[in-house]
Amino acid sequence: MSDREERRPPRGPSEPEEAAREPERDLARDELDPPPSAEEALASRRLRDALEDPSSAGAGEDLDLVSSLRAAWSPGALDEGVHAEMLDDLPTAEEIALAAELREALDAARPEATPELVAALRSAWNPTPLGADEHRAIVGLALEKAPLEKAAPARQGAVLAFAPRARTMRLAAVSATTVLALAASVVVWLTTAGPRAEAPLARARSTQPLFGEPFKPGETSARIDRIALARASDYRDNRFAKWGVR
Amino acid sequence: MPEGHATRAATDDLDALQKRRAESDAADRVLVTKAQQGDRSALGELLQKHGPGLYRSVLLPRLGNEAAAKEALSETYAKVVANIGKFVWQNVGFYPWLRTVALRVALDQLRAKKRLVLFEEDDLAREIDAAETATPVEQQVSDHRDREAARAQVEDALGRINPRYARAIRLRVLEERTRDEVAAELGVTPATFDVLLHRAIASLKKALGERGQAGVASEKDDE
Repeated sequence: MSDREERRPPRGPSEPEEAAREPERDLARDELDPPPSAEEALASRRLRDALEDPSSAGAGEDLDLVSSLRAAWSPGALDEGVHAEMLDDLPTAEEIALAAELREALDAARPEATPELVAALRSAWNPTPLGADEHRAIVGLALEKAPLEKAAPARQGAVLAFAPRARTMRLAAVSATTVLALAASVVVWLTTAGPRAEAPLARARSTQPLFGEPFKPGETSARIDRIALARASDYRDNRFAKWGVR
Repeated sequence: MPEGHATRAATDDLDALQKRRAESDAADRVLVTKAQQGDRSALGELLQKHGPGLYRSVLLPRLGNEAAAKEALSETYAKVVANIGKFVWQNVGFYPWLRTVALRVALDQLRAKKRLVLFEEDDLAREIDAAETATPVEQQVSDHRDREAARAQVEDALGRINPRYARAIRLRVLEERTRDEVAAELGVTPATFDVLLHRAIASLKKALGERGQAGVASEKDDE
């Protein structure tokens, strides 16, 4: 029933009079309740669907209003499962304390107070650069510990200050050269004939041991992949060995 | 910009990059030679040049905290000093060798100290293995790749937990936005957000712990 019909004054006319006025009223109703626009029609369909199936999205504010009206008029009971979930969801006193600790640590921005995982996340996500001074100190420390520098060649002036006689000097030089030559030849012999001190390098080898069982026809790629994998592994091992990091 | 110009510009960029790399490598080679002859200052120069990138892109993201990363950097330098004589120049520059040494030190540290970090021993072992097959790249490119790998690790870890928890961590911990701002964005009170974040961190710890256990189990299966 429309508003206009509800507001109609109770005059109580006779049936024939009423029948005669019907077309007039329809005309007037059409004027006051014009047909819905396309937008209104769409919105009304959305509202209809949403009322039939509240889980469907689309009615937006209209459905919110409907829900609040229903909730005020006839509030539904809380589902027991949902309630249990909410109770489970309540933080314990311990959780609240730990959450407060975490908040303080994050607010304080002190590295020593930052939890381990938070520090790990930040380090991976946005690592902070090392300070130049600190880095210089680390480099300095590493170099200090290194027994790296070889003895510098003595300057001529320094040698002359303690120079023995020329003949003795020549004899000493000849002896030293002979000893050095002998030592060098021994070193060459050792390094070429004996096993190397460094990690041994992988040698070229047959691919036969890679295949315990025959490949089926059409598995050529798999066969080549296996060989390539083995070769790559050898290559890496050799590189590690040569670089001295194996 | 017309297509031809864009291609030429890209080629020019690449040329410039290669030229810069060649110059840098040549300078490094001279320094390496001097260092191998006992010149401390040359070795110091090499470490000064490559160390900061190594720390920021390789060690800190993998070890998870500054103290551990600095310790690893010191140890890496000690190994470099001890082994510089064994280094053989192989036209890939000095940095890849330095990076491999650092990754090995980091791997040893991860094995020795069981701490909760995003990278696992297996991850580092794979990286060390890959380091040998990778083509030589400029340090900047290498740094970029390392940083991207670290971020991917974070994304992977966050992908293991509830998306709401992941979002809380992302906004507050990674983007370092204020507590109130994040609480408003998540539609909760700041006090509720504190608990939410705490639970998010606990959930991530659990997820990482489970990942670690799964790794150990698969290792046992392999044996």
